Amino acid sequence: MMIFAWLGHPGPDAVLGAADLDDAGQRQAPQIIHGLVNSLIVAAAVTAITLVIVVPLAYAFGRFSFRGKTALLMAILFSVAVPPVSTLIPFYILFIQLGLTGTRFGLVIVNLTVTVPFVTWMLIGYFRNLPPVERLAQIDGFSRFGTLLLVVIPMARSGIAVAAVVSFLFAWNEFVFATQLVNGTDAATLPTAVSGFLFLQPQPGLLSASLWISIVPAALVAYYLQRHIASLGMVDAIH
Amino acid sequence: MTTIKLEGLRKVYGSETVVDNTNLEFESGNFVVFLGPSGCGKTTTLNMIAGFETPTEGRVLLDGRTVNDLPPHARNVAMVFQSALLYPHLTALANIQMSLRHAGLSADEIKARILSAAQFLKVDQLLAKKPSALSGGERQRVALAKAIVRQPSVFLMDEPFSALDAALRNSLRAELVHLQKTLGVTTVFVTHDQIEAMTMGDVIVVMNKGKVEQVGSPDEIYNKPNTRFVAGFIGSPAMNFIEGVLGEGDGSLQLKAKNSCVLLPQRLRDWAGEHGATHWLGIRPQHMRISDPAVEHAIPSEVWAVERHGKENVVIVQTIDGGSMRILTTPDVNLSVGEKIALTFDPDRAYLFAR
Repeated sequence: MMIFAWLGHPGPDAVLGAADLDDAGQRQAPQIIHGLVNSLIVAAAVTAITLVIVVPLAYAFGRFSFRGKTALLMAILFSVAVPPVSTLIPFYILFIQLGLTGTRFGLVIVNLTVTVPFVTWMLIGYFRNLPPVERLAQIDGFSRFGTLLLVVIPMARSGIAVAAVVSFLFAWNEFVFATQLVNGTDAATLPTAVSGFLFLQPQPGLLSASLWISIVPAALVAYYLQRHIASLGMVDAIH
Repeated sequence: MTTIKLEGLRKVYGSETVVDNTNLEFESGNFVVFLGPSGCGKTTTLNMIAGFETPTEGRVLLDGRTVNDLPPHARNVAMVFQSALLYPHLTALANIQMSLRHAGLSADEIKARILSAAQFLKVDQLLAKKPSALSGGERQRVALAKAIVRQPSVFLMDEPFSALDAALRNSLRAELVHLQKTLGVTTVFVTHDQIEAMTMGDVIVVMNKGKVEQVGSPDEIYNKPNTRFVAGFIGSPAMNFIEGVLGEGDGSLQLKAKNSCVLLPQRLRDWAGEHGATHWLGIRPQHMRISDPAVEHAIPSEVWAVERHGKENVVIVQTIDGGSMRILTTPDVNLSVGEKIALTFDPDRAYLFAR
């Protein structure tokens, strides 16, 4: 119904008019900036933590054989297979008990439960296809950890960049959990803040403006890393 | 200058013995080639010398010193990997430089060493390029420069030419032998290509199913094969074999195949096992003759295909026993497919292997 209300809205002059910035709009506008900051913090934290966990994890799965590997891989696969929404209520109850509702920290944890298994699966194949440089690194006197840090990670930059983009965009766009866990609190992220213009009091002009704001950082991240990926060339893995 | 000694070396994965009780000793400066089909344990042996794999049993000694517990870089070995593996994200210069991480040299010394290694292998113009911008041969030279720059006591090479085309392989083969003889570094080279082994090796170790079949110079391996496997693996086209039961007849040793019977020369008595046992008679294609079908004890055959090589022809025949044989002939021999012929062989050049 609200969509019809917009369609019936008077023209652009009225949209951009000062009259539009009524009380509700003025109350909601600062939330956009606040939400932007929250979203940036959450998405950056999710990306960083995801990479720190996933790069060694996917490397181990992709390059080593060890006992229980298949079972662990299956466990990761199944956790991706569960629709995230189905864990919404359990998380909500758990977070109330732990006092994590309305915190960015809680939101980061929820996001990680999706990004970590998903990105691990993405990167396992990538690491598996890298040339066998471990032997080369052993001859050159790198330790196992040194090999990962100084040889494999620089080599796998493009794959890791893709993983970063995916994690960042997922956390940036996450709406359902944010609505339940942080909406209306200091930790509200941009998607929930933007939704206020849609659900609380329809404000098409402000909605449009805030949507643009929400697109820009994501587009910049995607564009920057995309160029990075293109310049490295994913086919580098062969030689 | 380093000697290599393998003492009772064994490697077992689970229930599979990949390398079984290998005892070998190589003199300093030797070019040693491990030859065998894939899965014969030659690469595993190399990996144990390099230190990538720990022997299940036995010892690896470099210059008389047990190195079992030393990590690869501490053994001062340099390795060239299959298809000239390099760090793909680094330039040729950085790749070569990686070999000197632990050398404890000053920046000037490192620079001088890299430059002289690069000049030696004619890659000094390529140092700024990444591996993806180099051709297969150039990559191979950079990999060799990376190996020699650390002045190792042993070179280890794991089928380094397997991904290259035939012409390039030929020229690199000669280059590598020249390089090895100039530097005098003990070298272990693993390959499944018998031509590479024959042309490059001072010593060839033929392996099959985890066991050493024979160790010797290319001459010995070719002219005095100990086993049927070695005889069949070395030489191109491969040696022909006739399977049959040993017996006595017409005052001579005989091999009775399914539908034919060949007389064996007196000298093969030393090679023969018990009468009545199955044996293999081995004859190289160049020692087979096409003869008149009327000749007694010639093997009746039918021409199956003729390959022209310019300087010679290879006639492939189907014998009356159902086996396939190759005969090297002069290029003027004209035979057509389906033609009935008979085969004899040079009795001085035949081999006999007990089964």
